[in-house]
Amino acid sequence: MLGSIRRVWRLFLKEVIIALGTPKTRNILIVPQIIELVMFSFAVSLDVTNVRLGVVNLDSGVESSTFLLSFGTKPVFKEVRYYQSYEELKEAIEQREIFAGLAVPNDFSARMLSKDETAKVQFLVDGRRANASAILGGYVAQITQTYGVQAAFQNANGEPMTSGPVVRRWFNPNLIARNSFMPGLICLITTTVGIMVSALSISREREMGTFEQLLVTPASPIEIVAGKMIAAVFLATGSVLLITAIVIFGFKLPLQGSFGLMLLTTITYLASIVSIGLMISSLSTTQQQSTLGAFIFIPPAIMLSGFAAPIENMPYWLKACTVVNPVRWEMEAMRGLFLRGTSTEAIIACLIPLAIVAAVSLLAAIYMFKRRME
Amino acid sequence: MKTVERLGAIVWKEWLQVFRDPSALMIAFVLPAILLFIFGFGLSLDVTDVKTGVVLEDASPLARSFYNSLDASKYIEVKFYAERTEAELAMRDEIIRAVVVVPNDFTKRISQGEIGVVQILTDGGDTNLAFIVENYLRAAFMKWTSLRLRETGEGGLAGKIDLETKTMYNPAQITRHSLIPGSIAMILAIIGTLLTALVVAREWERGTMEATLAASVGKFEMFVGKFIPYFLLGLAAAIGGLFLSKLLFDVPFRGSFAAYLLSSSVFLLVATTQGIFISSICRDQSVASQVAVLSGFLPNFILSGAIFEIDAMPKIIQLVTYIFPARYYVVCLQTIFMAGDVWLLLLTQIGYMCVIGAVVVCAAILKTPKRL
Repeated sequence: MLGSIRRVWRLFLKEVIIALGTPKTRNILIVPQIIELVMFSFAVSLDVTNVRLGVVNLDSGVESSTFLLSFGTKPVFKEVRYYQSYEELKEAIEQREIFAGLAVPNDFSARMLSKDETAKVQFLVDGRRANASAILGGYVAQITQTYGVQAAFQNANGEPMTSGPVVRRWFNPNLIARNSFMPGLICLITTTVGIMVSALSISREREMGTFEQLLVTPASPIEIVAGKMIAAVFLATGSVLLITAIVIFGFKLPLQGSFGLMLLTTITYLASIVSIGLMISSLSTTQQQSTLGAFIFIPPAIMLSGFAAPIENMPYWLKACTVVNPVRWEMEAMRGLFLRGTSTEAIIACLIPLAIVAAVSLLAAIYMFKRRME
Repeated sequence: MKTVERLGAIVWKEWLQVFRDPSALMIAFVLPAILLFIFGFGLSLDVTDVKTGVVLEDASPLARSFYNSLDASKYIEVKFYAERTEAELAMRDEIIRAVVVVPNDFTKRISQGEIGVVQILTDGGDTNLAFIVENYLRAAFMKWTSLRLRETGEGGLAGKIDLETKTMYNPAQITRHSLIPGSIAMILAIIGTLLTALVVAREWERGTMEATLAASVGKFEMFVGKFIPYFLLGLAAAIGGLFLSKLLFDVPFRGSFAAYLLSSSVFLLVATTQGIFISSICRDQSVASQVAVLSGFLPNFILSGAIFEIDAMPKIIQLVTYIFPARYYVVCLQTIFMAGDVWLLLLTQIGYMCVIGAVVVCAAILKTPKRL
């Protein structure tokens, strides 16, 4: 037993020395993660801002210009361009000169001022960017209806309306997209690091021929896998902690839950990811095949985790598949810990499936590795 | 004549290399299919039937009439809660994503001439959803208010406005229809950049590059010889991707096949060349794959505008997006799939890609080594 622990310790040291020994391998643990973090955190947003809006106003009354003014002053719109006809407006959207357009017919003011008639406005938006068009559509509807009430109120009372419905947003009061993506981002980076430090580790030795040397050592297959696994989890945890520190102190996203709980989920999650990586590695004979394996695993696992699009939107059979996806649970736990301040029980509810996935994939990795050696 | 012969030999050699390695074939054919499948089914940003709790603290007919105006909509699914605390608990547990509270002094305050008397709570954990639901609820409340003002005559001479929203090319606002064309760019980038970088870097690692270099092959021939097979593979994947997305997801395809092929070829020209360039510099599979992922896959995923909004990025990152061909290619794809052949727009985008392509090709030829 003691000898076994010593051998695993030696193997662990060997792996760590290989990983930290040369600048090239050392950098791979740090540089890509920081690039990913910075690139993602600034670029990942589904917000609609800086919109170029086109306007066709066929009405000469005051009402239409005050109505259009209520759009021009909104910060969402970067620029308002005027067109002479509806066709020109459509053409401009087609050429992507503008993203959306408002067409005000010539009887707008007359209808606004009449008691029984309804003023009509047409809003055209480029559906090629479907999500953005839905967001902007809702926003424009809100501005339009608010304007209608405002005009009515001002007509009746002679003073502008000041109050609208009171809106409070939980967990993220200013709706900053970065804050809601950031916990998922940590999870994403944890995944790539975890796979990276493990997926190539066996196939590299095989390609370089050092695998045979490992086999002639007194270490048993289980000890070799244990050494590789502990080293990979150790290295990846270090890399993840660095990223988390940047998120907490650099991007000022506070950790709502406890640090210990976060560390525990991260290590459990890495154990499952590293086992999957070792599985990929023992299945492949070359580094190219390992890379391919990683690529077959990572994008689907991320896509089916709720990172970019909500799980609720998936067809039910795919939703069922996400239950075995460790990324999904880690994503949920990280969001709970950073954003929602979820209770400890809720985090443990994510930890249990994570631990099960980790145990199963570890057994599978050991099995595959043993089979490979025979 | 000699050149053509030598070129043919290199192309043939690369071709055999790809077709005899199952993992390369997997990257070229199986991976795109898996990715398209996952993107198509797993990636939808549609906001429909958002579970919204409504708390009526005031049960007057006025409050009821507002509640009824919310009931029928494709955006939200109303759930009734008796107590505010109950609804708030449901929101914490993600059972509902928004709450509308009609306070107990609703009728009284409205009779005093107040307007904004309801409270709206949204789940900011998902900003996209929160923003859409918030705007929907505000608009619904305002629309109800303007109807009420008109009925009671309080509004004086004032107006109800009907907004007719027309979403061009995508009337039902199905996000999948714009996300799937976008994902084709991602898939082609994986094949073009990653596969090429890996295969060529392996030659360096294994030392078989030396053997090729010993032959009397010029820089240009070497480059073109490596380029052609992977380019053709990418093109095959592009056609396969189109076929699959029509077959599985019923995405519209309003443009012409010629436009699709043209823009895809130009995009692949850049992606493949980028792969050759990376492998010539790195000469090591694990580093080459890292660089390929960082410069090929990630920018295509994040900076292309296929999923995330370029307009919402900080200025400096917006500038970075101009360097990567994905930005232009995604515009082409979305236009060809959804709008049709808008040649003026397509040719401008293809033109930009050609400029980037010219730069990358020059760099790659210069860096294609003739010596060790």
